[in-house]
Amino acid sequence: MTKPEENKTKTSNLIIEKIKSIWVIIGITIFLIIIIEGIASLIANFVFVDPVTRKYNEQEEIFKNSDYYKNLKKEEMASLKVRWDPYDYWKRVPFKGKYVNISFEGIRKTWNPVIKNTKARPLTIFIFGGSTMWGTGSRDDYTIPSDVAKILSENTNIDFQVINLGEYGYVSAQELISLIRELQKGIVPDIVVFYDGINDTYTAYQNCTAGLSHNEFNRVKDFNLHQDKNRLAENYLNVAIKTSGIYRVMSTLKKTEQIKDPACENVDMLVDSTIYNYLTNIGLVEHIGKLYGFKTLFYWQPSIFCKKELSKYEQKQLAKEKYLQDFHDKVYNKIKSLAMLNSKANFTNLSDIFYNSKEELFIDYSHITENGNKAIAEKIAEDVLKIIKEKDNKGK
Amino acid sequence: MSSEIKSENFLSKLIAVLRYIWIIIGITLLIFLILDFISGLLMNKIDSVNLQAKCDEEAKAFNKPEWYENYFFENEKAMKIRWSPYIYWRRESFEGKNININQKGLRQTWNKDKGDSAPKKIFVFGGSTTWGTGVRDNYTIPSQLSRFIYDKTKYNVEVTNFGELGFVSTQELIALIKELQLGNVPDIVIFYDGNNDVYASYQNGVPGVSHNEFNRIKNFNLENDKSALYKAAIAKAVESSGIYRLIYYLRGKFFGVHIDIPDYTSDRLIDYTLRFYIVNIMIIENLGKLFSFKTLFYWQPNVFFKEQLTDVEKNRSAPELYLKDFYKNTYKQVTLSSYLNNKSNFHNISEIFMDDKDTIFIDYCHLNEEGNKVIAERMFNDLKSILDSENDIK
Repeated sequence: MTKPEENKTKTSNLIIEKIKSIWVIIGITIFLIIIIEGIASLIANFVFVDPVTRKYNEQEEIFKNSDYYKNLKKEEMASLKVRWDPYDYWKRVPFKGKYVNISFEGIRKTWNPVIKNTKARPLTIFIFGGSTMWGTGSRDDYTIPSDVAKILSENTNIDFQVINLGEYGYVSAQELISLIRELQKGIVPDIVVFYDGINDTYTAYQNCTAGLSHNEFNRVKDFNLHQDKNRLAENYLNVAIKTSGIYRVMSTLKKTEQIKDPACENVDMLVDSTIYNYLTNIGLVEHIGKLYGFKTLFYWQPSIFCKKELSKYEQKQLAKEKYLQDFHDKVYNKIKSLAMLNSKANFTNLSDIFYNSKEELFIDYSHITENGNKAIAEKIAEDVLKIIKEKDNKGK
Repeated sequence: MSSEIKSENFLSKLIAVLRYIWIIIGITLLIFLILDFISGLLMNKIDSVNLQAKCDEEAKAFNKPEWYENYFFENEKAMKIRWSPYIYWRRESFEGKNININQKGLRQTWNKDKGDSAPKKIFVFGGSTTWGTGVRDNYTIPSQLSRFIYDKTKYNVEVTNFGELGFVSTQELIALIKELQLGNVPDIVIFYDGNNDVYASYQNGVPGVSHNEFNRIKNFNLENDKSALYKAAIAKAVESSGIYRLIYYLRGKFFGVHIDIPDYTSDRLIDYTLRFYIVNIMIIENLGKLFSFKTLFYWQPNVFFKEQLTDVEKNRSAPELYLKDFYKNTYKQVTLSSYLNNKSNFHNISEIFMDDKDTIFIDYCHLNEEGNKVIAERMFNDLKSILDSENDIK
């Protein structure tokens, strides 16, 4: 071997050795990260409580005198799983429990009286809304629709069934689409109730656009994700980092507060479009009602910001969502001032129903206790009974 | 002491073995990456050659119009879609010579303002046949309709093309509702449907849902599901690797490509497909009453309703021949529906090309520019009487 050839071999051997060393160092680093991650995960599993569990744990305070809460909490947490539903995005997966039962179609069980005449079609009442209507924090038999059914059964002899079409996070646009989907299937109600306000307001604020669903940005992220290699890798890395033990331990140590304010531009315009959107939706529901011959009732729901006398627990809940209050008040005040809306015979603004109440009613800023549900149900049932009586008189 | 030496020896041996395995893994990985890179380059080249061949073949089939090559490659780029709330997708904005899509995701339509009064708004809804797959901006159905109105009447109109790739009538109904929510109220709406409603039902085995609804199910909440994301990311990485693409290509070349054809042909599915469509048009009509706009509905043609097929039509519709019976049966129900056929604003034009001898279809459902002109003229005739009657009322 000549000298230059020898030198060449030496240099390439050196390079190969260097590459080998770098590769070994990479291996050792990966090994160390895995060990640290394993330890951090163990620590995080002891220390870290996920936000949903934390929320439910906190709520134990308001349910301290109820013997059912522990069971209800367990069942509610287990029934949070949702599946895709065409056009209105999601419905819960079926669930069987003592206090929470969800049908194959994703509909929560409602207390209904026994049908006397099984040959005739019972009067059907659809009730739409978000999780407040679904009944977060309440047992199946004590949701608003169940309470409406109980009051109706005490005051009328006709056969009827109340169907709870409330769903976690639904805004009025999703409810309108849900109604259309039912009609497409050939299921036509006699009375339709829409109970809205909080979700329409919150989502407008969250997305800085009116009419969109909760976390619409997730739909944007999800769209065609399966088909996109780069976005899949990016999202996986993101989730892997956020669920890693190291990240969880570090974020627990840092205790960073999530910034919830999306800082929307032109808030006044957003308020107007939120209301316009709602008005368009209820206008459409009304007209679809005329086409199919069903009656419509619309309710604007209360929130913790509409209650004057707050318990200590309620004050804590309000403080957590304080960032939303300004926008909420603007929307709610505008709703109150709209003469054309408030003069509608089938619209009732229930936002102040608990204004002077001293009772502890709010589980969080929007969900109410079973007692609260009962008060709302009384108002709805009163209007439903009027319609039933009118129908009855016409029939006679 | 000797046991210490023994354990030290064992440890150093273990480390050496691990180091050795790790280096072998590294070398394997390196070889794999090089092979994948080369296969990727090869497949990119094959794909681009195939795309050009496809373009040449299509151009030849359509008598080599000089604009076709440009259109073909613009269409490839303009296929990119983004999420649109409640209706799932709209195209991304695009600027080209033959294809232009605005920020809202709507295709450009030929419109000329007569300037004497505020133009009447005409919204045209439909799938890719309305959007204008296979034709230039100025020769889509909405563009040709606008031109007919401009040339043959005194009316000032602005036609908007709300057609979108794969849209079914439920998506179109929601798209209309979204416009109304925004305060964008039309004077006349036209719905041109049939093919997508029928195909989506057949594909999903369920009526009323969108094309590839299973993708929505697969993707829902995926970004929050670590293990599903992991599986999907790995599957996609494998699928888009150069080696996999090459193997898949070679397999197709030598053994042919197998396509799973669903078999949903029940009468119930046909009934429900039609029922969903009827509910949609009932609701649209009622929205028309609320917002004071007129409505026109068309049940569109496809290649299965043309008796005299040219060779081009035969060849290009051959891959969808398996759909023929389902289409025929659904269309038969449309013809038999007394509700639909008693409506003065519903027009079943599925057989409009029945006796035509020229090439009209560029595949089993999309029309060429001449075909679009025939449809636009048919719409124009119905629209003119609406415009005339509104003018008389004034």
